[in-house]
Amino acid sequence: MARAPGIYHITPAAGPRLARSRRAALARTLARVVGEEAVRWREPELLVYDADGLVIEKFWPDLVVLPRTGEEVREVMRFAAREKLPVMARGAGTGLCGGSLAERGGIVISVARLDRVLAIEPEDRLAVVEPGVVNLDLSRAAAAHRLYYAPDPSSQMSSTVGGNLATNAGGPHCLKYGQTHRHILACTFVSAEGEIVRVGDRAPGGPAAELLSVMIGSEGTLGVVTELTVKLLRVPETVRTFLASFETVEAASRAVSDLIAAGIVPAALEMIDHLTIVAVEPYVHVGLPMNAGAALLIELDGPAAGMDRRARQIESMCTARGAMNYREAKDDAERALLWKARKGAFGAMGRIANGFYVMDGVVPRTRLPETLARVGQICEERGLRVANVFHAGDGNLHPNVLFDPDNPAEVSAALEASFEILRTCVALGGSLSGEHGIGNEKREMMGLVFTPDDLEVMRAVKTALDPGEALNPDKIFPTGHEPWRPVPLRAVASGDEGAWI
Amino acid sequence: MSALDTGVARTVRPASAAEVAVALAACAAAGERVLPVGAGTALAAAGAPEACDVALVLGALQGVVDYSPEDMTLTVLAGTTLDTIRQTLASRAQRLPGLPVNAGTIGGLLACGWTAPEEREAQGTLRERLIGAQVADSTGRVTRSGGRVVKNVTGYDLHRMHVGAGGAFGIFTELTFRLEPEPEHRAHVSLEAPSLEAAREAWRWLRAEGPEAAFVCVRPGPVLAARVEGDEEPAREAALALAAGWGRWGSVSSREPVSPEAPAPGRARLSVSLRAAPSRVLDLFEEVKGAVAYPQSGEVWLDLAGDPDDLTARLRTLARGTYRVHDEAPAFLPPELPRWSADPGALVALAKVKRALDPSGILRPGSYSADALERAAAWFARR
Repeated sequence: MARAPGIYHITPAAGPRLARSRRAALARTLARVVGEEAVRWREPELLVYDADGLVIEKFWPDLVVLPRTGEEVREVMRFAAREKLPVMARGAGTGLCGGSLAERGGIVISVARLDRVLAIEPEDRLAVVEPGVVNLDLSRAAAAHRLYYAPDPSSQMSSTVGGNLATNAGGPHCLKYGQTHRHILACTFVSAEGEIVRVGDRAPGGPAAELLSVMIGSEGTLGVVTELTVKLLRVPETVRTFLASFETVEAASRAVSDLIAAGIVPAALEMIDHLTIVAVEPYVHVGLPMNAGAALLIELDGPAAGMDRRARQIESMCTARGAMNYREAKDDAERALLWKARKGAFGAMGRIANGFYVMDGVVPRTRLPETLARVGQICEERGLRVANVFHAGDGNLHPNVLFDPDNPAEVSAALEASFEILRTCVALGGSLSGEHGIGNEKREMMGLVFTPDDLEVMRAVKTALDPGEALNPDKIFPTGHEPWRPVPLRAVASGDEGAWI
Repeated sequence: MSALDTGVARTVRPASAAEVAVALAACAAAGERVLPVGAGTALAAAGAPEACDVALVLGALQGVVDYSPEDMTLTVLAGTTLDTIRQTLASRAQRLPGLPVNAGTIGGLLACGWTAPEEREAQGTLRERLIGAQVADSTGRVTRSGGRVVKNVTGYDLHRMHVGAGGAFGIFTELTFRLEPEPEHRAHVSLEAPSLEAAREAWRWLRAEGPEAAFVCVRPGPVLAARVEGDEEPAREAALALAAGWGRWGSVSSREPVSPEAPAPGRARLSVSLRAAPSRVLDLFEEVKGAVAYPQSGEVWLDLAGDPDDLTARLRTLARGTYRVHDEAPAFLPPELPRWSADPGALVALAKVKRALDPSGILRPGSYSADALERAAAWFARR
């Protein structure tokens, strides 16, 4: 049973659990396996591993290891099993749900040095990569063959394919191409017992029952992935990008419905609401009216033939729904500018608030207008503003609840609102997370979506594969502990072009 | 094989998910082994079942629970027929890609893990399309994973694990899928290649430089056939480009390939699917003779006939290396020619999951029994 949030608190960053002398002794033993320079155990070295993209909740690991091979990962797992220490795998640390936090201390395995692209095989349209390869680097490596890796989470400039597998990462273009699970052919992982296991196949879409589907999105709770075989797609011949603004979110949503009803499958279909426009327009200067209620970014990709007809169709659909303005990117530079209206939204939040909390809910696409109305109401009742950015094509919304981090009452209200927003998503037929994951952040809310039996069956799979709960403990499943509340991000300086969601 | 051929002592026909769970709990308590049956058209498709006591026939779990054309999602009970699904979606020019032309139930189809190759190259497998499911297990629980939204990362995606397991980990009672619009236009191009080498070159050209094909197959001749689809104008243009490109290797026509493209589950003959990386498929095609190759999806389909010993010996040679025997595994085949992953660790892990989810071991004894999985693991570990 999920509980309502209480008064928020910052978990004190208390330092490692184990004494320095014990850590030093463990580090010496580990160094024999992976080399001294691959082990971190001194406090200043551990400091950077005490949080991930959720930022404020902090737990220190006792040790951090940076292995260079799958065999080294296996040895670390075996060492951890002997010492009864939990293991948390970590990619780039960009995850937004606290999925890599060392809540019980233990060993963080960073895959940062497992960063080789082992093979790109154009005829098979696949790549074999280590988990620490940065998402965008993989597409860059494949570009010479006119191939790319389709999943494009917001963090793709820094997040790793291993982390993407763990969260079954999404991104704007998964509207057309699907989430990460559709792009992984096989992976090799080290089990809790320190065995190397390979699941999946080089040929796509095998018919047998398999564990690959469960590994993907299991947030590091079932194994530490050491190698991935991923699908690559042909780079589309043409990309066309359009930006339209509307008086209301409802009008923009009706345009989205028209598109879908016409059988158009855009590559991306993204929306921002009025408050986000107010934040973003003065910074990106893309020409959105400051009184617009919503802006819709539409992208088509594929063969050039026939795209003019689709472009005309989209324009007339937007016009019919009362578009206030409409433009198409003429070139890559203008495309980047139109995307900046969407991608720059998070950086721009700093212009309108000191703090914001990024939510990640999902509802059936047709329930979006209703959901957003309810989100607005929830925030208004608590005297809060909310700026919405969302993947309109697949019903995945990211309300940014704005507040003043120095005002405890407002912080508390923001957290309460965020909980209500997720409860609303679930009540409207949706779910707790479309792409960020459950991790530490939402585990106590799992009861909103799943029955105790549902969770028991999932837990049974976890226990079967990791009986000692060595792998990323306390993630995904409710712990029954005092409800932990994330402390929202203080908005970064306005105009920051860092990660967007 | 029909349900009657399985020699079960009795048949149970539950009318709801709750009744499935009650029946399974009762069977577990009595130690009765259960064979889940959809339409009974492909009972060996997840590996031949061993002797069972109870046939659990799911045909009464029939009907569309929710069809939301605007959200492009469909939720159906597991015993719903493929025809019902096709008819439901046709009215809105939508489709669930990968349904074969055969009769059968959707739950049975997913339990076989089968996706029509004609569709899955462009649209992915039915496993990928499955976004949520309700499953009844042998402890009497009815549980869910996933949901009804197309984008969701909440909890383990157990529903996809059940695909292909024949019901050995739990029995589908309800399924939710992500749909696609029907493409505006489809066009076919075939090439009568003068030699296998020419076919190989034509395939490589298509893969590296040609238009994106929704489906490619190679039949004895060799004849290459491809389908392109999408909006009308680009699909027509792609067909022209493909015909012009392939014209360099032989005579090209726009004839639609003769259906069916591939052996379907449940055929009386022994049909095997051998899997290989796309770049190896034509080697395999050459080696096995008389097969249909699907290079994009990494498969070769082969109909075999002969006495069981000869077939077994032939499969032993075919199953080496990256080649795997899939789909139907008739009872005479020895257990070391499984349809599973060849990784011993993965088989052992699956056995652990089987024991956790079906502790009484009554669900569909056969390929996915914990003992069978462990035996297969030991066999592969020795190899």
